[in-house]
Amino acid sequence: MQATWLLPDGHRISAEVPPGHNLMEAALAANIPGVVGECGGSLSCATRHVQVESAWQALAGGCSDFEDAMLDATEALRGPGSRLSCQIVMRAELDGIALQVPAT
Amino acid sequence: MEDQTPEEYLARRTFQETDPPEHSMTRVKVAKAFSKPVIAGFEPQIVQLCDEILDDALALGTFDATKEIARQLPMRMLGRIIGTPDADLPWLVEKGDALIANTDPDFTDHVLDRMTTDEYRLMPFNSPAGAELYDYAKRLMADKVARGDTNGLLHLILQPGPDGTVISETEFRNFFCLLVAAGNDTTRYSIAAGLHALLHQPGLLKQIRSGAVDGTMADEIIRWATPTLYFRRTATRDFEMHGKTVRAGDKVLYWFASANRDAAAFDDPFRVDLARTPNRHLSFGQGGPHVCLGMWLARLEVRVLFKELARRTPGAGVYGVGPFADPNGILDAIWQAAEATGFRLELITTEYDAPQFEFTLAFDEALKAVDDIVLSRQMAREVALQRGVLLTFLPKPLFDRGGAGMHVNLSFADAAGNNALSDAPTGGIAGMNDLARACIAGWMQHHRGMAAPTVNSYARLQPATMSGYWCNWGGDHRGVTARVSGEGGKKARLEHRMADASANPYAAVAAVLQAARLGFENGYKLPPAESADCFTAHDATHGVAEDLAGAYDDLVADPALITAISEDYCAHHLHMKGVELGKQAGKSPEDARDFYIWFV
Repeated sequence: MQATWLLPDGHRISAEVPPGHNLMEAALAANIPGVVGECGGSLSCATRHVQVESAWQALAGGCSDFEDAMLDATEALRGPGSRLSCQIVMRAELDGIALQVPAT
Repeated sequence: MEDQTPEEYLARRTFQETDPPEHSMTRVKVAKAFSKPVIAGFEPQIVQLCDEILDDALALGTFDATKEIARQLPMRMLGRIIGTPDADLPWLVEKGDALIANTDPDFTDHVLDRMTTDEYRLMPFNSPAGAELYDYAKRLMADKVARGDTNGLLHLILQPGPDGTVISETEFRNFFCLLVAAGNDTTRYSIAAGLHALLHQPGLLKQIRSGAVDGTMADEIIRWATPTLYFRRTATRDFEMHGKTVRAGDKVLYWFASANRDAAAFDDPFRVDLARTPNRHLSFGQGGPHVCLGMWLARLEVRVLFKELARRTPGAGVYGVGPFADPNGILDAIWQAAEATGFRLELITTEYDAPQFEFTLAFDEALKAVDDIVLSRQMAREVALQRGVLLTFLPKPLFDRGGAGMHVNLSFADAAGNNALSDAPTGGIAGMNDLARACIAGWMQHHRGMAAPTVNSYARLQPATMSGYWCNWGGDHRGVTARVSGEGGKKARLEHRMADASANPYAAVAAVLQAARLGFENGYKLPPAESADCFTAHDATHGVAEDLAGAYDDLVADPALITAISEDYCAHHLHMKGVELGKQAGKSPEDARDFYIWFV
């Protein structure tokens, strides 16, 4: 399964993501610039904010109350598709998902 | 390490001692107040605080930087964030120290493992300071509520979280104490360690000043400092790591200090590399839910403090004097000592590279001038050493900065007492007479034989360093070895820029004078003046030898110069340099420098 990150400078990076892995782990493994990952995916740091491209927002689902509150603490301003990528877990329906990495 | 009973744990725990989902309930209430965008808004206040702190500290002249700088910033900034009056800050620092250093008799009368009372065992950090801080926080909040003041962090954390719950009074008390302890403690060590690094690793200040490492320097200082050396955690399940089995309930120490110097993760881990990228250090406990809440504040404080410090420390500009160039007043002290002992010091000024200075002695007859050089150099070194500073005249003490030369400026008096180097009131190349041309011709002819005398000299004598490397001459040109002064008449003079202070100055001046004499007596032909800038291009066809061994051979190959200086002296010189080459063989440039630095 594959995910694609759209960087603020216009570059795109795609990487294989095994099912069950979250997209923060995948971004770190693929060295996606701007996805820092400070708390290991435990919803403590809001340093891996991404915006899910509009076509994928419904499939990726909304965020939990906690994630919602943490998104108020992100580095870049949040938008309609904002999620913390550690909270999106790869599964068959998300194969090909595209994520925008916000400029910081 | 203290093991708590369940009762003590429940009374004293903060979100530092709970795991998700419980941890997240508190984290989510405080995360916004410490998020990067909110913290970034504090930058102007941090700049202002750093200004005040550095002004006060530098005005003291000699001071303990840990106490006057490192200890000041974190608490004063935290005070602004939680909205405490400035007058309370020293008290908060004292109480914060007592909490975190609850095992250290220097900071508290209630040393944890020597207490005879269990009165405070349900208080944060098992400390009476915990009780006092809690009373303080309660009063502070009551005052704010009475004033209708909803600013500041404390108000924010008392708001309901996404699940509608509000933190309990015990949680608030413990969080406030944790805030004071953590906010007061760790960044202090990062700043102190950063100051230590600046003093021991040349070039860092210059790099900070350049602005090229603004985005990376704080993380590198915090990695190198590792202000929290380790944390203890409790395993929640069995696991195996690197062949070790850890059982659920085992206490495990995380040595952040060790991880941050892991050669598999960091190239040259013991070196401070302010541009290090990526820099996945673990000083903030990254990789789990307990990642440092205040990491953005710590990074910002460290960056701003070192930027402000770099802006106002020595070497801010060439040709400077006063406290910015000489905060410890060493130059003033040398000047006063020179006046008191009768040296005619004409000028002290900063050079291009901090902390380098130029000293100019008034001219005199050759022997007297050299006597003055020897004695005044020793005096300057002694004055500096009394203030704890090792002043050196070595040609290249810091390998990434400018070197130091000992330029010989000379003129001759004729029988009538007039300047024999000049027939005209104007100087420069156009104003040179036959004697001046002959002197320079002698210097060009014997260029390699005259070269400088220690291993360290060849760290300075390099192309494109304005150092007297090339066999060339010119007018107002710092890229040449022999320079003709633009001044004429009584002030006409020639400058030879090769020698450095590790030379015996009597011998160096003798070599310069004798080579000039050979040029005059033998009628050497003067090559054309250098026409290029000597940085990007040069006409000169050769420079000096590459090292001391090469210079030794060059002098041996110049019997005319040896005879002119004195065969006996040169034989002795060559013997001593042979011994020195043996001693220095195989030494690194740094080790060679450290050998010489006590002598020059």
